[in-house]
Amino acid sequence: MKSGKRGAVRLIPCADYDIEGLQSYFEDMAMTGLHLKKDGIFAHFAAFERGEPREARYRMDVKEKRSPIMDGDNGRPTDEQIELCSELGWEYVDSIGAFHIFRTYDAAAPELNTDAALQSIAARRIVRSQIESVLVLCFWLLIYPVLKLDGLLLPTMFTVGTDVMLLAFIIDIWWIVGSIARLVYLSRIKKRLEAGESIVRRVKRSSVRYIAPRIAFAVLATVTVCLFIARWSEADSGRIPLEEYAGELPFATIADIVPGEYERLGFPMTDGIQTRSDILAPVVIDFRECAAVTVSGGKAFSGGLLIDYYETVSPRLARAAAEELLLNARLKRHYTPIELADTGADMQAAYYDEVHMPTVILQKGNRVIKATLYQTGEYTISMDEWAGKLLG
Amino acid sequence: MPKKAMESLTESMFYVLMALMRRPMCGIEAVRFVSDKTAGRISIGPATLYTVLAKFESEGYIEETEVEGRKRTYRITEKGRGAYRAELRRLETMAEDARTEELFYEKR
Repeated sequence: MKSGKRGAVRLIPCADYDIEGLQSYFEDMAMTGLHLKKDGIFAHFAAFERGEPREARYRMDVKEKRSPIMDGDNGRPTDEQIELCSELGWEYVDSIGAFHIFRTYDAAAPELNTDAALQSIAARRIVRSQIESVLVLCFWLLIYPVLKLDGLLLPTMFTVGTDVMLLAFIIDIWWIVGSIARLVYLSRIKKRLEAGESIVRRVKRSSVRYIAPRIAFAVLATVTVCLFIARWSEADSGRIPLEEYAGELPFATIADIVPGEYERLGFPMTDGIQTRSDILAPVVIDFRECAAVTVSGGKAFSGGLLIDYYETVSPRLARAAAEELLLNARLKRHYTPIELADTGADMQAAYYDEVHMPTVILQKGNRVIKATLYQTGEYTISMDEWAGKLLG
Repeated sequence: MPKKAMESLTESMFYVLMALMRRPMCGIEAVRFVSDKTAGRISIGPATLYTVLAKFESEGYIEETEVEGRKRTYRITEKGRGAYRAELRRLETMAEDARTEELFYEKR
């Protein structure tokens, strides 16, 4: 941390809501000759001026809601507040979080707050707003993503990456727990004020205990964002045309389903393949094929095959993923189940999706496939037939 | 502790109203009045004072009469006088109840 003859800059070793921690920290610094500079707080760093070591009292005062005499701008106290404080020996130094910081060197100056009952009203207000923050965080970090997944937790994990999803989940929980810790602290302060206690207790906070988890959080968040960006760009550029794909496919394609004279209709939107690998699903394939086949007798098949394929590390995981795929389909408005003959799969389901496309979901061992085959030519093939060929 | 501040007045709120019952004052004059009146038993801190003044002003108990630089002078309104008197009666009733209870113990 920067330190010189004229002053020093330090990372504040406690949270911006830790009233007693902040008060004690600034008072301890004053005793070493470092006095908080006016408007000296920036991004949780505090600038100090060097002076004589002196006993000082620092007090945190809850920022008031705007009212006729509390119309301070940018979260600063009003001129009248500053004037009243100054006449009674207190100077406004800066603000941090939900608090204004005041200081006095005058041992005879009255306490900044002399009415715990009134202070508890302000504390109640910040506790209430903290409860709202926790609820908002829970909604946006937990409930909203789950709702947006439409029941597709495992397939999303396989596609985005289990590692990224887990890291994001840890960050979410960390964030929420931090917000709850703030709420617990403020609730305790409120209770003490309601009991008539003052909040001027001296406490010692360890800077390591404050800084270490924040550094860990920052590292974790950076790694997660980088991984997410990497996966995102991979998803953007990872799709290749089918003719460029040289690997073996673990499922049937149009050529296997409809034997005959095959012609690929390479529309960019409907033709392509993307393969991924995940810790829980080593093989993930997104496959889109559009083709025309002239079968024996001269009839023409024309259509497209859309496949999401997963090979997971265990059959149980494959089953869970298949059930999620089915749940997702059932949640859609125009889901219409279709009878399907036995395909030999451990779990199978067939339905018309929201655009009336016949779709099947099959799970066999650790393999899961969701396939949609649309047919537009004069020659068509029954669902029982093509679904039975999919996983071989 | 009451649920809302205005259900009953805290000690500092009561004394600030008492000060303004005498005449319009600025905040610092009210603080001095309270300190003199209570012989230093009650001192009102600046944060408490501006919280009280803001609360009273939003409740319509006081109104601003003059602004001189950063200094504002307030006077008590009829509503404020009513609140002061109601609180006074409440305190008197409490004190009276306590006195009669003392007599009961003395007789025993």
